Amino acid sequence: MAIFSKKQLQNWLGFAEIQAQIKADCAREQERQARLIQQKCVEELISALTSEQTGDIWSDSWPELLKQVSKHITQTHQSIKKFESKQSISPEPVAKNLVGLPASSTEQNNELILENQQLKDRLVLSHQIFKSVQDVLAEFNPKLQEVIADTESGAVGVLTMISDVDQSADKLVQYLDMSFGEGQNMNANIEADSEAITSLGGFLGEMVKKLHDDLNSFEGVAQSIEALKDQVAVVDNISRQTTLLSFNATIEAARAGIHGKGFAIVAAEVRKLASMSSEASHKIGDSISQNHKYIQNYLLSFRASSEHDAEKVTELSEKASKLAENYEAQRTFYKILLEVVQSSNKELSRKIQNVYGQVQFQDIVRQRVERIQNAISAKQMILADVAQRLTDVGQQMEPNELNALKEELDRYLEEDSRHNAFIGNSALDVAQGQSEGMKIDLF
Amino acid sequence: MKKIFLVDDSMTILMSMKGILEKEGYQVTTAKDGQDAIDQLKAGLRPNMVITDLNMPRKDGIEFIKEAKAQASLRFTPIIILTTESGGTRKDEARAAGAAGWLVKPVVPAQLMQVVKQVCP
Repeated sequence: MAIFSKKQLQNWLGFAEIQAQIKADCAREQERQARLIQQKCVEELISALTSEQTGDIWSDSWPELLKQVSKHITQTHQSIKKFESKQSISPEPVAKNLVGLPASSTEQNNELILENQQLKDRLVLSHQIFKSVQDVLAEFNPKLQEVIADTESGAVGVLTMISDVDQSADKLVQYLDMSFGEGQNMNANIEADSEAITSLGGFLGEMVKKLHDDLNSFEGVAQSIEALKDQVAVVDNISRQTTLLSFNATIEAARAGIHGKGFAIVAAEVRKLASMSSEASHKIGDSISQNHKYIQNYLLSFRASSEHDAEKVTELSEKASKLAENYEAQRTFYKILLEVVQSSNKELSRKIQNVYGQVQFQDIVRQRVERIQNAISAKQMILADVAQRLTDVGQQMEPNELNALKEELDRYLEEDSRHNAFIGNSALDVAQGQSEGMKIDLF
Repeated sequence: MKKIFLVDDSMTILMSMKGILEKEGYQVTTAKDGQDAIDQLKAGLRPNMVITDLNMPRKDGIEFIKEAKAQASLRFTPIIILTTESGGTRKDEARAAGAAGWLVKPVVPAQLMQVVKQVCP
């Protein structure tokens, strides 16, 4: 059993303490190196995450970078072990010398301790940055969820408004349809009324013509009556001649004496009849004159009145005809108006259908964001595992993380490619039929 | 009036599809996922045709088709899958489950109506 002096023992203990410190520092250095490299990864990740194009998060440089990180970590492990083996001094040889540490070794150790302290600080900083990245990633999911909810809410709002517009347009067309139907009924009534008015006008016109004919007949009658006056004058003349003749007969009867008494009586009777005949013919002549005058006045008045009525009837008939023409023009106008509105509404309806089609892109975008969300969550879990390894000095970084990250990336890319049927086609292209359209497969 | 049952977890899809189909004179009922759809079918809903999404919470499209087809009254009701997925093994699964067709979103209204009129004349 070796016996050591107190000083030798103190020197040996002091050296062993320094050696233990070096070992601890080496472990820290190992950790620091690992974290430094991981910090590079984290910085790269932050850069990718803050990029405007979210798709860049899984850039091709990432797996390569992580491979390099792994290589660096392995190399660091090896160099640190090498360093440890060089610094490891067995107590026994040290105890044999018991001369204490040379001054140069002490300075070297102090430098190592200082450097280790700096490495430790940087490692702690790296760890903090790494954790902050995890926090950022943890914030992403709810934020993306909010984005999805906002876009869906916006799309639903648009759909609600479109639906309202659609219903209003339908109501407008229904109203116009109804108006057109009622207009047609009204027009049919007007047409019937117009025909009745025209028919009435025709009847009145005929009636006026008939009245004119009757008037002409009356005038013929008046002329016939007027002609009777001549016949009355003949009768009156015959009466005067008869009276004269009766006077001559009375004279001749007186000359005959007693034999002419009977003839005188006859002559007196003849004169008496002639007087009565003359009186009657005068009365008839007066009556004919009065009636003729009356008829003439009536005919004058009737002619004036019938001409006025004929003008009115003609005017009424023309108005009825014009009314029918106006309503026909109005009906044509409404018909054209309805056709234009119906055509516009059909176009509006087609465009509304297209809007319904376009709004579906919100769901497609939502699903793409959800896939990115899932990929971020998976990466977050892997990074959480890496963070755990960073804080646990006893564990080493392994290439498994790299494989997991790569597998996760491949899984995301494969899943995204299965859903990319319409990527590259704008919503407008699809709506306007400028893309190849939807894929249909009926079994 | 023909009844079409829409199943999708996206309110946007439900509203837009409903708008398209109602304008063409169909009566549309909606469900927010496969489980909701099964519940409504069990409650007595008898559609002439079903259009369902594939990926939904609680019960996905294929599980929904399997359960729906297990009901005697829906054995011959056509069920169409409407999804963003372009196909692959999931399409085979859907066919095996009893789906009548596979449509890829977004739907073009005119083409959708051709399919609907073909499947549900």
